[in-house]
Amino acid sequence: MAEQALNELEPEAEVEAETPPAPAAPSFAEGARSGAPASAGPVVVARHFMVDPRLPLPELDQPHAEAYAVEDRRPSRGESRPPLFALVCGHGLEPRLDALRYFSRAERLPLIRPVAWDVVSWPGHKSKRFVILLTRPAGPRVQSAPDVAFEPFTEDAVVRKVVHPLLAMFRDLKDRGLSHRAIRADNLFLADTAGNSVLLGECVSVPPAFDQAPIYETVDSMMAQPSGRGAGSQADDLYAFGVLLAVLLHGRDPCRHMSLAELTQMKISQGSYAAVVRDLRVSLPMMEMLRGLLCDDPRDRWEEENLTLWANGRHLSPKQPVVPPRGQRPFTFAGRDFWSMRALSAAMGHDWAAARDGVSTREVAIWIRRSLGEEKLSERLLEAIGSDLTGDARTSRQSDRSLARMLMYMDPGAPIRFRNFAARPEALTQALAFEFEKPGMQQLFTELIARRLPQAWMEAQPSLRTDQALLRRSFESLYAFVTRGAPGFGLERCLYEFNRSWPCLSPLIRDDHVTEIADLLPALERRAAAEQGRHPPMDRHLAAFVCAHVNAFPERVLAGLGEGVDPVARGIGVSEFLAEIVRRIGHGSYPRLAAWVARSLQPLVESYRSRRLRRQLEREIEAAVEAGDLSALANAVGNLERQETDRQGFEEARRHYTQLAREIRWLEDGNLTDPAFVASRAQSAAATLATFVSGVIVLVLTLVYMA
Amino acid sequence: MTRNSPQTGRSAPDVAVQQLPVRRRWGWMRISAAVLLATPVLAVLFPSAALLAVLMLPTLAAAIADRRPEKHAAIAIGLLNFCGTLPALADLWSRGQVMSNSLLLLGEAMTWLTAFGAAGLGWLLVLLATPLAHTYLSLTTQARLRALQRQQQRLVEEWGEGVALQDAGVFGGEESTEG
Repeated sequence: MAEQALNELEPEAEVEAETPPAPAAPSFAEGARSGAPASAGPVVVARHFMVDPRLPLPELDQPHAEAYAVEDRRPSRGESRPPLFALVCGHGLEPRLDALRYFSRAERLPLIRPVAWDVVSWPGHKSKRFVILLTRPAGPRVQSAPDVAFEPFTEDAVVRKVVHPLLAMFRDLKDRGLSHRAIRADNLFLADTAGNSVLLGECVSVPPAFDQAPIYETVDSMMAQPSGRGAGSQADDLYAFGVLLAVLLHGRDPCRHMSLAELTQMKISQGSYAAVVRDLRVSLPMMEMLRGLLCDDPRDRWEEENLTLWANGRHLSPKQPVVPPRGQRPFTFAGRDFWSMRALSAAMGHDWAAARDGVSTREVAIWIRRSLGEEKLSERLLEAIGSDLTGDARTSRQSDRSLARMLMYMDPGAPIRFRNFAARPEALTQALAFEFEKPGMQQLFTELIARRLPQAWMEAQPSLRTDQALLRRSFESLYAFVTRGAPGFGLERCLYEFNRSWPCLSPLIRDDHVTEIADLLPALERRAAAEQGRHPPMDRHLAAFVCAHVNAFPERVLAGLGEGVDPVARGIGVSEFLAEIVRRIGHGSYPRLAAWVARSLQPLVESYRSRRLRRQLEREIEAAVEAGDLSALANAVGNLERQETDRQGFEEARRHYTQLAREIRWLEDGNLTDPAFVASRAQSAAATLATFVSGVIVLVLTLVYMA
Repeated sequence: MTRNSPQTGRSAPDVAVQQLPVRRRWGWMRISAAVLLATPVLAVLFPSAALLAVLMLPTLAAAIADRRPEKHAAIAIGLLNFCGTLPALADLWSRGQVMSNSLLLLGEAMTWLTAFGAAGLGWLLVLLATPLAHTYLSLTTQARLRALQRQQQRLVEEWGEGVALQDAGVFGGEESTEG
């Protein structure tokens, strides 16, 4: 990937300062720094920046990205430029490209701004890394780490240093329909050494809300796993902003000792305001703002206009906490009593195995009807899930699907939960990408989509927002892809179709970080230099990646890539597949890739019976390989007329050979020299000769006597 | 022995059985026609016929000895025998066609020598034809075998060993039973 947003400079392909050694690539959890050899020199990023792996900046590290010093070598035009630092993103985590492009242009907003980015080979790592260059904050972090306490802000300091500076950012983000999703105390920096203002840290090195602590997330978002939280909306940002203000006033995370399940239950049962503010004494105006921002119902939550009005001194009526309806009697699950559907749903989502094995839908439906008085919901629940149950519903073990659907009806606003996975519906495809390579997750996603749980989530909603209604088409596409097992479809197609900037995970080119179709063949060409095998350069990831990035890729070509087809047909299919890519992206020369494909086509060449046609095919393949012309290669191997000629010619030759063999057999059996046959032929010949001789004699005698 | 043609695969006796009634019918008709034509000729040309009947005795012997339906040997001997008889016949016609001249000619040794000598040559031709034909056909067989094998080799070179696989299946069984 050569995408970069260097504001003043034209895009340029990445340049590598040094060829890194090739040790095994550590995972992102191990960090990029641990793998960098001490002798590694600076790495050129986006042509004009030198990032030095030997100069780490641990104080600027992000949870999943490591910071390094940067030397800015852009040609100077006399203007002053802010100091920069580089974030080397973790392997397997894709940055937010849309947010990168936006924030790189947001020069006036109080946040750490990305200046340029690039994909480079990083010392000590086999695969390429995404590197983002950002403006360096002058001051330190407000909270050095999520669990560390700091000097609490006064209410006046919060308003002056935090609320007022960040208001402009919320306004701008709202206008552009973007969300930050990394608003937290440990991602807040002092804008200067005096500490008179703050800067918000970057939000682009990881997926939205990936690094957020649960306390900063709304109840439905915190129930989702980090990769499944999604970009959300500004309502999520404002909620996190409310939590940030409360944390700044506390001087610490007030819920740092609580588990995720405990925090979820507390937020549900008491409301977010009570859970976050707790025993903090705040003024009435501050309470007004915090209640507005921490409102659990997103429809009632303060928006940017409310915050602006409040900052300008206009006071609004405080929002009352929204707590779910409490039942007349509790439902006991896992030894604990739960008084509301939402709390019970959250608890069962956190302890899936216990819920699946110990709770029946009928029990829950009866409790909903009798204790909560929700007869319609109870009937809907039984009606919707009754078809999933077999046998006696009270005693039968609940299936994962029926449990997932039951949780959807109990808490429609909660994420889609299925076994150990939970994601907001709009972040389902993003979660698919991030969790794709984790053990067991592909099976889980396949089941989740094939069992139409996303569609079931939509059916369970009492009403759908416009953006949610648009998801229906995406869910149907997911289902259509998953239920087709051919190359170019399946779960891999879901991954690339809905995550267009996700790099191709094919083992053949994954180290090259290919995110654009134009980079695919060059990456395969590089790979081909080290490839000596006879397997064709093709796998399901390549097929799905291409199908997702090329409009209306011919299914005729995809049909030739199936695992079930014989090696000859597969070789032809692969060559036609690559030729189609060349046709779509424009011609190019790929001699090594062509040679690789040609090696895999050896069975095809050998399948030709005719030596003449085989030599002809070999000559055409050699010419195509020499020119690196994949289209010519596909034309050579896909010549159906020649194949038919060979087939028919072979059949004719075999018939001719059989006829010859029969004749040889007849001769070898002595039929031509059989005594009776010879005598017959001899006497016949003698008669013929005698006829001739006698004719001559008669003629001569006639002439003599006439004379 | 029933011989199948490598091209048609049909046996000669089968053809003969189908044609037998037609041949028999035509045989009687031939005989009747011959008698009708020969009777006036014999009456007019009796001296010549008598001369021929005596001098063509080798042909009669050959016709009796040749057991083949085609009677190729008898034809060959008969034609040459007739050539040997022609000088005497011409001499008879030049002297006048009377019975006395026929008897006079039959009394000459040269007449017998010419007629029977020619018939002997016919016999010699028939006898020599068989070994000559056998030699010729043996040489032809070898040449034809080599030509066919070359053609097979060219097919194998062009199309590979696979072109002969079906052939091995067809003939392998026969060879194994013979062995």
